[in-house]
Amino acid sequence: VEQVKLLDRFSTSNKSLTGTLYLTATHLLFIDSSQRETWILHHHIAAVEKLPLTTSGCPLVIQCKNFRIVHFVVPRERDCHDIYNSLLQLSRTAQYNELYAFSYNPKQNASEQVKGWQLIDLAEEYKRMGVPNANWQLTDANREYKICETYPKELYVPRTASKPIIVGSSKFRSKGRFPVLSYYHKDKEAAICRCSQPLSGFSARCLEDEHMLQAISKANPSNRFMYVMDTRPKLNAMANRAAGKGYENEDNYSNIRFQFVGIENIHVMRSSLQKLLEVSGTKGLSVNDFLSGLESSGWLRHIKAVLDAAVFLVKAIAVESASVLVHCSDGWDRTSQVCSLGALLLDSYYRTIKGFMVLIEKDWIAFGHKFSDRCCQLDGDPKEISPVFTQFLECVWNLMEQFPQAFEYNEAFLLQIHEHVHSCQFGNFLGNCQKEREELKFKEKTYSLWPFLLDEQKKYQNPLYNPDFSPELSLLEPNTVSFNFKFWRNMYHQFDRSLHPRQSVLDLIMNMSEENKQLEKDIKELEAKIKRRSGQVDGVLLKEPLPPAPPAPVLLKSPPCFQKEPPLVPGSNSVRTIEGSSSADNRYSEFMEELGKAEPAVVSLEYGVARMTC
Amino acid sequence: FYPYLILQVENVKLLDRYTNRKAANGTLYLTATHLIYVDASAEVRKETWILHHHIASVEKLPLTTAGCPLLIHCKNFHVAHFVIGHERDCHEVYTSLLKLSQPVKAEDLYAFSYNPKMSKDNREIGWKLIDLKVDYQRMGIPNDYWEITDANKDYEVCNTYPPEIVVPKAASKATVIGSSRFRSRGRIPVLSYLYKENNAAICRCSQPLSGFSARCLEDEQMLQAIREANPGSPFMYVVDTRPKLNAMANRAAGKGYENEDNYENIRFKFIGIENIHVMRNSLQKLLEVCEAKSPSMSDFLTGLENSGWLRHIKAVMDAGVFLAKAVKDEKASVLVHCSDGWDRTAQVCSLASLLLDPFYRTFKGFMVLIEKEWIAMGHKFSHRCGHLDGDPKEISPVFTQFTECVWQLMQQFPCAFEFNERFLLEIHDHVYSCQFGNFLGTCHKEREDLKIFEKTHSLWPFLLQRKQDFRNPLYRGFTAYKDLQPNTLPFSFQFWCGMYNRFDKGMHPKQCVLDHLLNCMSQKTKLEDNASELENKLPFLDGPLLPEACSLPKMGSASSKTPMLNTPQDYDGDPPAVLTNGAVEGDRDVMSDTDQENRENLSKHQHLYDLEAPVGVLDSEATDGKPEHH
Repeated sequence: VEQVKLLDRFSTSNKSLTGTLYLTATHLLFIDSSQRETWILHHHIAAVEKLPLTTSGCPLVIQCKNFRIVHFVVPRERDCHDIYNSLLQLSRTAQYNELYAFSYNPKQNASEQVKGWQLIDLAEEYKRMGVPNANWQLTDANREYKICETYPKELYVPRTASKPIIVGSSKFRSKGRFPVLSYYHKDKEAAICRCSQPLSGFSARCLEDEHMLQAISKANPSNRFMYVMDTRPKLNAMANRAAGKGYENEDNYSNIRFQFVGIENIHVMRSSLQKLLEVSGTKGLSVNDFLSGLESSGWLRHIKAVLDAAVFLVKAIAVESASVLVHCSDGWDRTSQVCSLGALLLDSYYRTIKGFMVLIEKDWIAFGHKFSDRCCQLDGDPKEISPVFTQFLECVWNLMEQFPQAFEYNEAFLLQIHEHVHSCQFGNFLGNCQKEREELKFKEKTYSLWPFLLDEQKKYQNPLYNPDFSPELSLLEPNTVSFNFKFWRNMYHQFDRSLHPRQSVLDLIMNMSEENKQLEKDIKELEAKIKRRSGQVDGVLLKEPLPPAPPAPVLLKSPPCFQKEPPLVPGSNSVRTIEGSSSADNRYSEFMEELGKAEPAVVSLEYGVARMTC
Repeated sequence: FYPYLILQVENVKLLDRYTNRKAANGTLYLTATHLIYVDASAEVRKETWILHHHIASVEKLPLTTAGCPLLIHCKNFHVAHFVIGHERDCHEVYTSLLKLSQPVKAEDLYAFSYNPKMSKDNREIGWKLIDLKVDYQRMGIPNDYWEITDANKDYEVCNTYPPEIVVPKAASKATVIGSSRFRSRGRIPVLSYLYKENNAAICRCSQPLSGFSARCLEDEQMLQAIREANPGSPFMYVVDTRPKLNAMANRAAGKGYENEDNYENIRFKFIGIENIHVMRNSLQKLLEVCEAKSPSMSDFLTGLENSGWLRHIKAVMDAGVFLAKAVKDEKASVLVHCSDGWDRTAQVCSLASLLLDPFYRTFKGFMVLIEKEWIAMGHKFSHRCGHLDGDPKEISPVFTQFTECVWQLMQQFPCAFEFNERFLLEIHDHVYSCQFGNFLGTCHKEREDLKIFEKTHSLWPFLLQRKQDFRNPLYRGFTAYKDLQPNTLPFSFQFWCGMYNRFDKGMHPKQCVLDHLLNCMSQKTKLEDNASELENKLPFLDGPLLPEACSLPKMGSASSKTPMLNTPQDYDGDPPAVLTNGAVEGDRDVMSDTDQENRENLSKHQHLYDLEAPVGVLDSEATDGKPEHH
């Protein structure tokens, strides 16, 4: 369709671009008069809306799952209607094999495809955590998906949990999702386990389930007590009892501490996001409307709740060395959020590019987060859609803001993953669980996302990343006061270029560290050259009027010294003088002396004001 | 033990707002200038220093079982919550602090006793560091249209303006005097900034005494002269930064705003920035939110919204953007005023200059900007900051808002400023500290009367001395960006945790990017230093026959510097003629690519070179003398 106008969402001057709109089998493509292209994948389209006819034409608003909103004006109504109908059809797929992933062909051969799928190996990951070991083992109970359809085949359980206990426990848990290991903390010997709610109703008990929990707590030699975290608000959990579900009764299970952490359900989250998008999409928004809209959407409150739950979990493990069992209702939404964030806080491996992929594969894909339903990959129940995974990414982003040096990857990596969770271009996120993926033979018919991300990993590297910044930082302890939560502009306005900061810092920082590396290399080369030459022309060197200090040894020493050199910023020194970690370290007495000598009412600049408080 | 100790109280607890650690016991000292709390328990010795001038309020809370709580609010947003064992002690501390924190006479201010052990000459050089005439020269003034006049030599025209003001050449003395009689407090239209490229000017004044119908021919001539000083534009803007209602209410008191019918070719516009009282209340509400112990997400957002603070920041920013656009895009001159033309007008004019001119985004330029638009033009620092015991209704965070606007710009343009957030905070601290003379008094005349320039020190040389702490590692140099066009959508305004919760350590990101980058940069300078040194060795070894060996791949200009970090001994006694292979300029004190570029660009104008002199002197003194913090 020709002569289509693309309006700028936030500009007040009604600027627009004119161009041609094309629909292909997979994409909507708009090429403006200056040949700039805008591509929108049909799978990304969340909603298409025809607005009332105006004098300039028929407006068509397309909302995408990656929060892009485009506003076209099509000159003729019939064309507009055509586009509208086609898009409705194209953006809604009824069957998996119609998804983009099945037609997407990145020109890889079969062995590359297989290798790509083998890149993330969860058995390897459990080995890295240190299981199987004396207390934990791999069980084949779910080999044929007989016990739980939505779990993976390989599951790790306490050694003392026999098959009958597993089977019994799974019968007492919603959807058969019995307690299994999610993360094992080697040093503390404590575990994060996950499951679904028990079918306890008002009074039902299950001996095997009680044994199962006991086995988990016994598998931890350092603390016999274990926490059971119900991530739902207490009211919701209580309401579930009427339906024969519910939560653990502390009296029936020995050595457990039960705790609610109050994260709202998928429906609340869905409408919260809806409100957030309405607010942030308003044209001519005032600061007050924005803040009150942000507040009434509740979005940041929910993000904080998820992060708070993860912090609670991490404290139990890191401080009390206690194992924790996490569940919500079915154990695939809030439980995935909390378990994966907990692991991310505990283990720096998950803060590397590869580790983050492993984390998503383990706690989200393998444990059956229903990506297909939550992201509406197929035409289905709109009530199943919910931004659960988006919230997880936002929590990670918030952590990145607090710990800018702790993550190997940057914001762009999170955004790219978010993009592909909805794009259906790769097989990883298709379907709702492993069983479904196997049945549909995704591994043979589609490609894995991860090798593609690894190929372009330069784009996703955080230039500030410093893995050995401090070993204590292997455990992150985020601060969750409300001041620390910000609206994630780069997610929700990713495509509104006019809203972004005008200067990108990442490249600059990247260059800076590259330059330093280059310099270090140059120095090494020069040194080598000098070493070589000085052997040859020793005589010349002696004859030259060189300064008394012999250059060679000084120079050779210097490069390894850099790391050890104290920072050149003088400020750090004066801070230390006031707040030392030991009495030997601080120069208190020294400065008291100085103060004694000083004239009346004289305190210098540094102490007086700048460093006044520590 | 403390020679100038006024009071010493044992058994004092300092409560921490954000950690649940048990409060430790310590000792509280009051000296002539500071409150000092020494937390002597455990092996960690911790000290908290509070300058008396920084204290905004002291509050005694109801007695508890633990003792008598004393809450101290500081002007730099530090909040200290002490619990003192005995009520009598608490009362004594309370009354002493009340007295010490609110001096009655200007002579009692810290600046008059502060002695950084600097020679008289250096003090004078320090005061001369910022010369506004040089800045006018930089703008090209005097020129065919503008001149620097001494019409206000004896403060005859306006006692809150400096002696030298810039007015259109076409405006005769009679016009100036006549116009001054028609402007509130005689604050006539004068030049604030001239955009050299198109001759459009930003001028500032106070409201006209127009009432409901009064006119003044000279004032009309004055505006005409300003408009005609910019031949490129047929009209000029007159911007009243007040909300329309406020301006209209002023008419009843014989003041008001310009009537478009009386002035030729002006376009009149209101930009509703609220008055000082609204701003004071807004900050109060914001601080209440900041002080809540652990507000829920909703409480925080609602509180932030109710305070209106970010709305006001946006209003100031919007006004600055309007001015910059008018000057740059419409090539039109702008006359700005509010009521007296020393609060909102100062905010808006300085912000617009900052947006238009990259010079004001350098260390030196920012100092010039503050000296010019705030200090010289009579922003009443003493009243707005409550330096002396006075009318609390005069206190208002006008300068704080300006600082915050600059910070918001830094968030959007992280590479455009030579300085970093710490520089802003340091200046903000000293606006209240009364440690230096710059911000004392309310106008130039008062500062002269107080003999500020003879009896106190200027802040700027001290800041330049600590340039390393304050530099922005991401700065791309003077020429990288010309005018800034910030986005002023609500998403672009963030709560400035670093200012309002600066002393709540527990709230800040656990890793400081700025420190990391600063380290990274100094490491780079070191490496470059090392590389260039190595490079210098090569010609000896190669002999004159192998010149190509001394140029490194990719190093280029980077290697051509011998940064200040050189250990002096390395070059001691070196014959530079032999060492420098053309590229090395041994004694230039260069810090980075951008810095060098910057200087070269500025070298046309004198000012950065006269900057070198006093700093050099100070530097040497600092190294010769005692450790700098004593």
